[in-house]
Amino acid sequence: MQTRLASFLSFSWRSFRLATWLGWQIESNWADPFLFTIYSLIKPLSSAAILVIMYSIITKANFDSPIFPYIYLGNAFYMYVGHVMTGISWAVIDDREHYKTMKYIYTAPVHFPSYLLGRGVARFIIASISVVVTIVFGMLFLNISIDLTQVNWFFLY
Amino acid sequence: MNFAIQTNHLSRIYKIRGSKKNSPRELVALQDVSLEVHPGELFGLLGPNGAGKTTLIKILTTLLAPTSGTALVCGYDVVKEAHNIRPIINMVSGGESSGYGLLTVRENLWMFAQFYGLSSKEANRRIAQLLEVVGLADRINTKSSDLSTGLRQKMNIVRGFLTDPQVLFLDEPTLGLDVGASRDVRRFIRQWLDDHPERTILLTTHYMAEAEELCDRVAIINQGRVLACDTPASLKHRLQREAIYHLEVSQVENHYSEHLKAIQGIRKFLLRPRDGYAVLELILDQDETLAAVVNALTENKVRIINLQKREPTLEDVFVDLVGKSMEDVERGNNGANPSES
Amino acid sequence: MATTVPTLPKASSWKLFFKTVFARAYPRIVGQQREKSWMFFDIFLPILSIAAYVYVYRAIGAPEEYIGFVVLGGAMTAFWLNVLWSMSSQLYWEKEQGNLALYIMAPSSMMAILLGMALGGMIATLLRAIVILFIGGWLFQVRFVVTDFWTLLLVFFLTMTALYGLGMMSASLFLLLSREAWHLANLAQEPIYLISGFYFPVKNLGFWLALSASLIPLTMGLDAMRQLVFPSAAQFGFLDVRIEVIGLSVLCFIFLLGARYLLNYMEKLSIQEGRLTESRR
Repeated sequence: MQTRLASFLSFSWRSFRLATWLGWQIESNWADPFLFTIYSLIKPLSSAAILVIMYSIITKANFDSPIFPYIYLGNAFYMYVGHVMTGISWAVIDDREHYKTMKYIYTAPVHFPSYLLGRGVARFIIASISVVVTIVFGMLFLNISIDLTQVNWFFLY
Repeated sequence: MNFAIQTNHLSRIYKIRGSKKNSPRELVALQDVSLEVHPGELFGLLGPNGAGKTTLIKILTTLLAPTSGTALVCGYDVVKEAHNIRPIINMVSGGESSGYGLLTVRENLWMFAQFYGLSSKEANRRIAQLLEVVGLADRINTKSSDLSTGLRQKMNIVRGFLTDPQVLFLDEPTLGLDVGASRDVRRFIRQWLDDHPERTILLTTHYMAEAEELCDRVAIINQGRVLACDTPASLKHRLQREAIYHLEVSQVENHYSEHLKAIQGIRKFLLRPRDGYAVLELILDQDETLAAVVNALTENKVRIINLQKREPTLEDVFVDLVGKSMEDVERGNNGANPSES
Repeated sequence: MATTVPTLPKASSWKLFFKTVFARAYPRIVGQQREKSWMFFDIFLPILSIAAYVYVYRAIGAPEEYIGFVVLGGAMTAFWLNVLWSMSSQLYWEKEQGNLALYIMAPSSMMAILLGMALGGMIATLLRAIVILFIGGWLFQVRFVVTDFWTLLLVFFLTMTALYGLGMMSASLFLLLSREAWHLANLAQEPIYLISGFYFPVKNLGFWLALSASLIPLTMGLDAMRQLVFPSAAQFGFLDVRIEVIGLSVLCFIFLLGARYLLNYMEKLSIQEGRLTESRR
């Protein structure tokens, strides 16, 4: 029983690790680092800026109200939803339609759910960059204060 | 003389983007290619993968500009008069996945016909007629995404013939098709040209048998250069004065190749290991050289299982010109045991 | 000396142009009947997105006009996404599929091909936008009061013409791109929502920024449509509707002319550099 479990974990881990590497290769090498950085900054900040401007028009830039960080942080973390969901589902489309490797991957001794999760990791990492950039921007320019000692880390997961 | 296709010292060099420091920055795809294709010819371009066949077709179909030299299709320059060429040509590539999966076979073909200005009535008539000929009439209302690879390729072949082009370019049209489908396509191509003797087809292939079966003339191309251009019979006749032998021998290891290299009168030989034996293909200057070969094999304790003299094929012509089989060129190595004397 | 033999009778150049436009629009129009997933992706998801902004506005106590702005802006995002994904980057997808070479090789002009794509896309998107407007308007009790129907129609027509002209221009630029096409199209979503004022009156960006943003046809188009559709929206407008109509007309001219020039130039460049058929992923 233990051997089977160990074997399964090893098998899943191998699938996950390879898929993570593959996902990162696909997501990160389409542009030089400078362009990639610009992309990673502009997209999340534009998305946040829409809400910031909406808020500032109506409340006359009252960023001290507690509802502002509520909206701002909610928008920042929502990026995970979009990136990871589309990342995993788009991996299936990409592999099947564009790279045409889906049939080979599916019939290989790969744990497919782990493979999909691995493919989502690269998008998770990119989303994390976007989230961190957005939060840091908010802290630096929009009076959002986050006291790391006050965060309930246990419930965050 | 008016040619359907004419190229003059045509070259194409690709710049390799993002190449590393010590690797080549340029790729010479075509080098000094001069060809003339007469109206009414089915002209073949035979060569291994990477020889430059598709590059030449792209230039002639106005999709790619040459780096130097000129190319004319029906007298029009491919660079300066592309707008005059496009109405009178068409192209079909092997392994094509063009068209839209959501549309039916008829709709896809009708759409492409409209880009050439055919009336809907005429387009639909020709679609029905051509689909009948290729055996796809019963799938006329099937979505193209539901077709198998072979049927999809047949649909694409119909697309090429649909507009009744004056010059048709077929770039490995039977690639990926099964034996039956390939045979149907080849028969269709030949029939079309027989029925339209004023049209011209330029066909690229790396299947020797296809070139021999279909083409009026063949140009053998390798690494961007045309090595020979003539009718298949004339090309083979070049080797007629040589003797071509096919031997099956017991020894797979090629420890005796040095002995063979030393024999005068062997133009080329290829050793191909098989399961438990090996095939030795020999091109000799004359039949008398065979005795020396047999002696060399016997001295090395190699048993001859089978020996036959054959008529030269285009494969032999290719080996004679290039020094390796097409298979070996494609593999990118020096072949099983090639040798030049 | 050029020689040709008689082939099938084919259309003259204007007829060929219109045949091509119709033939290329056909897959887009027919496609939406056969593939119904757009109802989820192009209606339900945008409405969720609109809902998020509506609830934000309501949470911060925004006047009801802003709800209407969001619904209208959300409906119009359908057109921007169509221009980005089904126009600008479309030639990249066509290249991937092998259709691009066949289009270039055909005697019809690329302008006609792109115009067909634009028309087909516009018709399909119009349906989506109308459905989003109706559902969004009903869900969030938005009151639309059209003060001048013909001006509204004119504004919409000019906006679409200029927008799809811009799409055709950027399509020719995308001819030179490979994998980065997808990412650049992806990059152009949120920044355009921001500077074009999809979810808020663009005049709040300041005069010069709003004026620069007016190069995107949807900026002036949306601003004018809001003024014509919401009774109290004139106070939120960036420029007078008449000025915006003139601006949009100028943009139509510039983008359509630019599209024609750029398409020819980019086609020649792509042919020289061999980018029409390579598939570098």
